[in-house]
Amino acid sequence: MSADIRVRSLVKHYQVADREGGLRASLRSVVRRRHRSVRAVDDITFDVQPGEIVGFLGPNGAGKTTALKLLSGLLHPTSGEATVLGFTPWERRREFLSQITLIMGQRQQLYWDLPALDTFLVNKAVFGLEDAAYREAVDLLVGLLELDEILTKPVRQLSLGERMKAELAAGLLHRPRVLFLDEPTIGLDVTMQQRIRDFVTRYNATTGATILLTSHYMADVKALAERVVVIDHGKLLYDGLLTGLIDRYAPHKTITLHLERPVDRADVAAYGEVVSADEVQVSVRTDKAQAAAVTARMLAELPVADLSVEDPPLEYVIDQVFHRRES
Amino acid sequence: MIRSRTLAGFSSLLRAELADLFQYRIEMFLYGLWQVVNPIIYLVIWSTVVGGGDIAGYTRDDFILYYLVFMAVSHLTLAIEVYTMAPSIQSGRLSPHLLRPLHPFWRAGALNIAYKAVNLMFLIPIWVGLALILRPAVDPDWLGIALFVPSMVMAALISFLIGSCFAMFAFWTTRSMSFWDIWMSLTLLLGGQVAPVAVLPGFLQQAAVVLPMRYTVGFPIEVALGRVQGAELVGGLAIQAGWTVAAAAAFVLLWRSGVKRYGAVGA
Amino acid sequence: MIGRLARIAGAYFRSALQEEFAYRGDLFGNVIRSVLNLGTAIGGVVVIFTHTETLGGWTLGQTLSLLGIFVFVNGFVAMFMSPSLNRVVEEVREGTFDYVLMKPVPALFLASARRFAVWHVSDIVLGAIVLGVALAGLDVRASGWGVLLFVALLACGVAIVYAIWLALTTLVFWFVRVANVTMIFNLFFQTGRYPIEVYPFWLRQLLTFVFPVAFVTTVPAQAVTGRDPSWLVWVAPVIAVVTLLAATRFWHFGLSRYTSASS
Repeated sequence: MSADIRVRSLVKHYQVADREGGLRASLRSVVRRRHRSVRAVDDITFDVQPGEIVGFLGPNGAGKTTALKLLSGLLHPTSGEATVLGFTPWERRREFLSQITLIMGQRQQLYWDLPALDTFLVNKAVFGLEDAAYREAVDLLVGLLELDEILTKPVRQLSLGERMKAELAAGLLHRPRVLFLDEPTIGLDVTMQQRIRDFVTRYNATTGATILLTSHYMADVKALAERVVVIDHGKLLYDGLLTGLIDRYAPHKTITLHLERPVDRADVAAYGEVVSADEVQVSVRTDKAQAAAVTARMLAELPVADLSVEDPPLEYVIDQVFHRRES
Repeated sequence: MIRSRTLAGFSSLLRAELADLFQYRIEMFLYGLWQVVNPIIYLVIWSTVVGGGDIAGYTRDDFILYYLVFMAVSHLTLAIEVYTMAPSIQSGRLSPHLLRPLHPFWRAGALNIAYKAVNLMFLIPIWVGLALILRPAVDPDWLGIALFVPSMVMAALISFLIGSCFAMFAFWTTRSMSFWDIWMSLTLLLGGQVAPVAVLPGFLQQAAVVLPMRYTVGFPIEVALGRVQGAELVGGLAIQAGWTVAAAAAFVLLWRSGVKRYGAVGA
Repeated sequence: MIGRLARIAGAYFRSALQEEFAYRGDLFGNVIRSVLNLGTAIGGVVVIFTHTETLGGWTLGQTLSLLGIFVFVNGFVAMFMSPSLNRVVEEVREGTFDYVLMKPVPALFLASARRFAVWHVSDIVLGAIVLGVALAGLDVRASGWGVLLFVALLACGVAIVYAIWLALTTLVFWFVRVANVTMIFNLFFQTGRYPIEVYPFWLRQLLTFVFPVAFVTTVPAQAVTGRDPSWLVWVAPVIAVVTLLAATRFWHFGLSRYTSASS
């Protein structure tokens, strides 16, 4: 099976104007502007298979959005190649644009003063959808996103979460095969984030669409993507399973014990690095490889009432990734 | 009356707005040109029409001088609040400003002044250039020039307050801009742009003397050029002062009820 | 292709209508506004003519006909052109122009025929009325050929306006803050309220060849008021085609810069 998204040595440099704050700097910039080159995307290579959901991770300004813009055809690269569904994105062929979508959490395309349904009708015309296909798509999206009441209210009256749902629907009416989602849950409350995540999973399961998404929220990535691509300063740091990322950058487990009675702290420290400890609850970090053995020893040697073994939180893992890069 | 903290706040706002506006230098230049184009049209038309004679006491040189001063005065009395404040009222961006211990219209005022100051940089060269090309004969009227300053300040105040009132219509209606356009088109005719008020036919002239439009642009020019004298001058200044007070009263009233409504609707 | 684009424009136009109806009562306010604007414009012309018989060789009736054309074109531009093109400027600044580029429709089309300010229809109607009334007062006999010429010249004028506006809009790809294209445009367009003959020589040249406002109001007005049409009548179609071609090329160049295809 050929990849839906194929990226080879993709490079994108930007010229940006520098400007300091303050009135004097403003005056100076009237005369002369300083430019510097930024390597937003620096030699990136990866593939995404049909139906896959891939999480695109990296700190702010790492180049995630630039990469998405390259792949959706909004930008020409400085060098390198990419194909999406067999098309070169930046040729911006009609057939290509009809089969993909880009949804940006912070930017909206809906008419502000009209119900979302009116934007839908416009998109129907723009994408040249047949009545039947349009209705089918709306039905599907209304079901998956629980849109019933949302679509007929003017967009300005919707809550942020409702608006995001409507934005998603507007961007998916033409049944794209490849979805680029840029921070789809940004600014939403936890429940709404959860709903959007559920939707993405179910949409992927229902339609088999390929999804490349960026997010600040590790919960998003954890829930949605088995595979992650990590970039920083435009460079690809990691591409593989989420579990692999954890193995590589934070190869430990946290064992948390509930004790029947307090134990001397030194006794616990013998099993690994103590992360936190109070009277009867102790957390110890150990190497992943030894986790099983350590757990067995603890059970045998300590008055354990209850015990749990957890992977480190993803935030911590990501922090490790970028930290390690800098040091 | 105005506490020093308010003034300090105002001056820091002013500096921020200045810095911000500098980023818009190309627009500023265009706005500068914009201030000049309409007066030039009427300058050209009236100097063609008047020929070698005079109309209501205005000779060709007088028309040229009038419109040159007009360019400066209309710029300095410009109201931009419908473009700056109305959108933030409509979109709800006013809310954070309501929480600050400074009336939001101080910010509008800072923006107004910053805008004019920055724009002046672009306007002055254009203006000097035009004056050098056209070289009207000037016969200064010193009393008029002295009284021009207070008249000008009042004109700018009336303009700012009325502009703010129109901006505050945004508390109630989504398109305060339409009302503003109506106001502006009346100002074109009665404020002294289409023609100096003295050149208008009788009934329009009478209307112009009573209505506020002339006192936002035309009147200070007439004062500076010594076109109004004696009782007419005193009476005009009195009417102008009256409109300043009236505009301030309207401003305060609209603000109070507007904020109340803003709170109630939770825009 | 044409049919598809027409359907798309139709869908956008329907949304514009609905948007307008979302603010009921505005239509009334806007009609008042149009009437008042027109009133002050006519007032201005009348004030001038209380002190003179002719302006640049044009009589009151002829000047009012020209004003009618000005108001008509102004309304047309405000209804069909400026909303879409101004939207492009906003979108480039806000970053939502990306959504336009993501649509499987030529960006130039979406940039030009997406937003409509429906209520400017009142300006269009009023402009036509002023023109009609002024012409009736002039007692010019309209031949079929004359009407055809007038309509053709008006179309050329509108095409020139579109080209200029498009070129100005395209500047946004370089200067993100070219906020108010309407303003830049009006800067020159205002001069079209009066016949070109009023202006001094250098300004006349500027308004004919650099920023060809002359072709938008003066030339069609010459044709319709029975004044001797100048040689500009024959240049109008050429200027229209040249400016259109230049503007669309400039647009594509700007767009390729935006997507950094040119660097």
